[in-house]
Amino acid sequence: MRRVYLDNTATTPLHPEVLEAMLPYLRDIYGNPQSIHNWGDAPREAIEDARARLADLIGSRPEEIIFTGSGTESNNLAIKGLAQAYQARGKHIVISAIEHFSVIHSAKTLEKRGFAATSVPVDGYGLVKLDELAKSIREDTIVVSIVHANGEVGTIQNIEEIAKLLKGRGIVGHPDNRLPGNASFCIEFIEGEAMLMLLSSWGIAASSGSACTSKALKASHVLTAMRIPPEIAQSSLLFTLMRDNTEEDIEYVLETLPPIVDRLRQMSPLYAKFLKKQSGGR
Amino acid sequence: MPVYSDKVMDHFMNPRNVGEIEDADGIGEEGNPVCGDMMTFYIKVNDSRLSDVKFKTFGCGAAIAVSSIVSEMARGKTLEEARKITPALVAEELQGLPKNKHHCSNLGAQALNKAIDDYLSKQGKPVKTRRREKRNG
Ligand SMILES: Cc1ncc(COP(=O)(O)O)c(C=O)c1O
Ligand SMILES: [Zn+2]
Repeated sequence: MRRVYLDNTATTPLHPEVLEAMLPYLRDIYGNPQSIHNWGDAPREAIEDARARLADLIGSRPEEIIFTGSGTESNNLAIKGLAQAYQARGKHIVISAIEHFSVIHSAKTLEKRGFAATSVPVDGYGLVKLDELAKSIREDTIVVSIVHANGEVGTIQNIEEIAKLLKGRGIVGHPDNRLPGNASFCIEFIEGEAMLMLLSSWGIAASSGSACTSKALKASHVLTAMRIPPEIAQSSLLFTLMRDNTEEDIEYVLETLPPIVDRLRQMSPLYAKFLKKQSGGR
Repeated sequence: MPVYSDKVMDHFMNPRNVGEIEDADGIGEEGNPVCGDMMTFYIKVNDSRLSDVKFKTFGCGAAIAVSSIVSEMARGKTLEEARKITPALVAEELQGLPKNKHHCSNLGAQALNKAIDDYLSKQGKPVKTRRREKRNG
């Protein structure tokens, strides 16, 4: 059976060039970069070289780059770190309603520590409402953290306009970013987990924002913020692509998915009701 | 995806008794699309026995497996016996359910009970519901 991995927001295979670049340090070269003895030299040089190249790429100074173990760590460090550093200037931060939980929970933690946080709503497409954002900014706002590209529905924010709103006001913008090729659907009358299980039995990996697929049995906060009705959010299906996916992979999905949808709809009382309504009955 | 027992997977992949009964003697609907899963049970009653049980379900793997096993457990039983199909029995029959899927087993038993209630009230008989107090969310 063909195996097609389309859940790259969850995790994605290592890029071969990354593996290649890292192999020497995983295999042969070891040592703590802080060490005085010369086991530390090669790792230290490698890290400083990476820092300098990254700084060059984004136009910053090398010492402004801090490496962490993950996106979650980075968001925690950036938001809590900035809040702590600038608290003399103000104690208000702004996020959007569709942030990753590492941002939302950092904001909640700060609220417990005496900061104020505003969550700006989004429209039906997941775009941050710029007028609401403008209104949310106060004299004491120090950080605005908004996800540049949403990993769940693929919405790309108008980050230049957002930056303009912040310019000259002493506010630090924090654009969280992560976007694989993203195809997000709601397939009415059927539930996400059931789709995922059947897709998996055909060798296809995808994900869903339905309540039943979450541990907390809550629909995705992103879909909820977009005011997608709960029964529609329940039918969410998300494909996120990687570079190795082929045209044939996608064709296989396009062949496999419709019979799965049919099969679940035949089972669905909501679909039966819909059909009855359509044919004019009650 | 939660880790489901072989029995749950079997009933999810090959659900028994899916469908509607056109001239059902009782229909029971439980849950609603707003809180998640939804089930509709259809029953046929002959000599106080469930001669046919069918269902339609909008929901996750557990919800579909639960409806399937409940329909199987209820078939051929007397109304009194069918009333004794509890969420705990349903979960046991499925070789267990993941913790956060237990609400699905409530739904199945409740929908069946509602179908029996519906039958009794149509017959003009007293309805003595044994529905669980604990509602799913
Ligand atoms: C936009 C965004 N920010 C942060 C994270 C968290 O990253 P990590 O899983 O590396 O902690 C993710 C993870 O998917 C993400 O999509
Ligand atoms: Zn469910």
